[in-house]
Amino acid sequence: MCCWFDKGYLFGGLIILLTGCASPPSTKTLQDIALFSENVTALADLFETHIESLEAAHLAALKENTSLQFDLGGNPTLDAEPLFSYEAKSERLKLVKTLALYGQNLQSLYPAGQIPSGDIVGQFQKVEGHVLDFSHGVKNKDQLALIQSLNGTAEYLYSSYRDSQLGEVISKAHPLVEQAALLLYVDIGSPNDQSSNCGNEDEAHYLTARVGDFRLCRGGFRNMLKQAITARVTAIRQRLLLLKNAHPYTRQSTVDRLYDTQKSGRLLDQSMQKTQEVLFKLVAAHRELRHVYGGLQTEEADLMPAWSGASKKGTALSEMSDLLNLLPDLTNEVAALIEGRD
Amino acid sequence: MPQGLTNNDALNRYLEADHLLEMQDITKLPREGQIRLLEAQRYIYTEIQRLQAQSIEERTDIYREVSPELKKSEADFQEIRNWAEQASKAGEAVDGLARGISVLLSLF
Repeated sequence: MCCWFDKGYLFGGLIILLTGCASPPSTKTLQDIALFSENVTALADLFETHIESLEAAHLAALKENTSLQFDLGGNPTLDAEPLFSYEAKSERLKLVKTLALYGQNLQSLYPAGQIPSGDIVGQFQKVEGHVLDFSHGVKNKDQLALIQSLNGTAEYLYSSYRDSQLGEVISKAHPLVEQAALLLYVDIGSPNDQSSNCGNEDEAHYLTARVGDFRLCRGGFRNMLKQAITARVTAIRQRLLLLKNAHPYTRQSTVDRLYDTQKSGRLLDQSMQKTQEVLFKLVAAHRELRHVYGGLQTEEADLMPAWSGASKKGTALSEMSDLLNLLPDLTNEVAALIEGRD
Repeated sequence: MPQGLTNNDALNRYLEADHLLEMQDITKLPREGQIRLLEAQRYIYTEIQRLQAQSIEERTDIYREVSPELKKSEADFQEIRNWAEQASKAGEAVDGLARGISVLLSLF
């Protein structure tokens, strides 16, 4: 009889030991990890699309001018240098892909279908009440439940270690995630002239001079887009003025192109502006993960102020998803308009 | 770009010139003038974009520093995965022990 008590204590002790470990992530947190990974990958694709769309808008502006010069009997230059060097583009794409890889690495530690460690604890707790009373013997049904629960022991031990290690990895990576988001944010820039914020500083030095402060000078992708759209619209409008006596069909198709160009500019700017919001949400969502995994809290060392991307507690990730769900359709529409596709 | 001008000053001058050219009614010019206007607009547009791209390009060095630092987290993830692999082997022993205990229990 005493042996049964010993066994009871043995199992009870094991359960207390296991359930007393660091608080494990909930099913929701595991879903959040998966969602975070998907979102960062989507963000990387989106950023790449923005660069391509901007280059396409630039090329379209040059083509419009060249075409009109030819039609007037001129001999225009056919040079059409891309806006950015190969190196500048590749370094930016390298960063967004590294961010995506980071998200995928997070997710790889939590394969789909895996039982969250929180649920494993739940299994132990369920079993404890009725199975571990060995004083009256063990029924076959209860043995089965016990064996099944114990088979998760290794899984649980691994989960606890993983979660604590992950807290450290997330904390260590957080300043870099912030810096990456800030760099991408400043690159996207602003279409408005806010150069009074910058004094005589050149924009290139602005980032390092005022890190953590989001006042932008003028510039970035959004202002370059504005210039490309304005240049193209100006050339189309000039063509329309010169087409006063042209066939109505020719004029109509030019008017359509004018409106499509303006619309593509508005939509692409909107998409870029939403992407900036996504970048804020990315930082907020990563902060939430840092909090959940109990990583070192280093708010005072954070580059971006606490208000950036702030939302109701724990909702940054879902807000980021909502924004990202809209953007691919928007960018596809933009690409179709710039290229003149139906 | 004239010497001594910052990017921002040069950009402002080009934007001003661009605005003035945009105001010009192309239909009022002779054919040769129309072509010259378009050439000037293309030149100024290209310069505005070049200056703006330059500001962005100058930040490329910062990108060059951040990407490898972030990539270092790969090693931390690998460490966890390596541990998991070893834990999996040890785990088989733990689970085996659990099954052994259950066999013992079934004897009573």
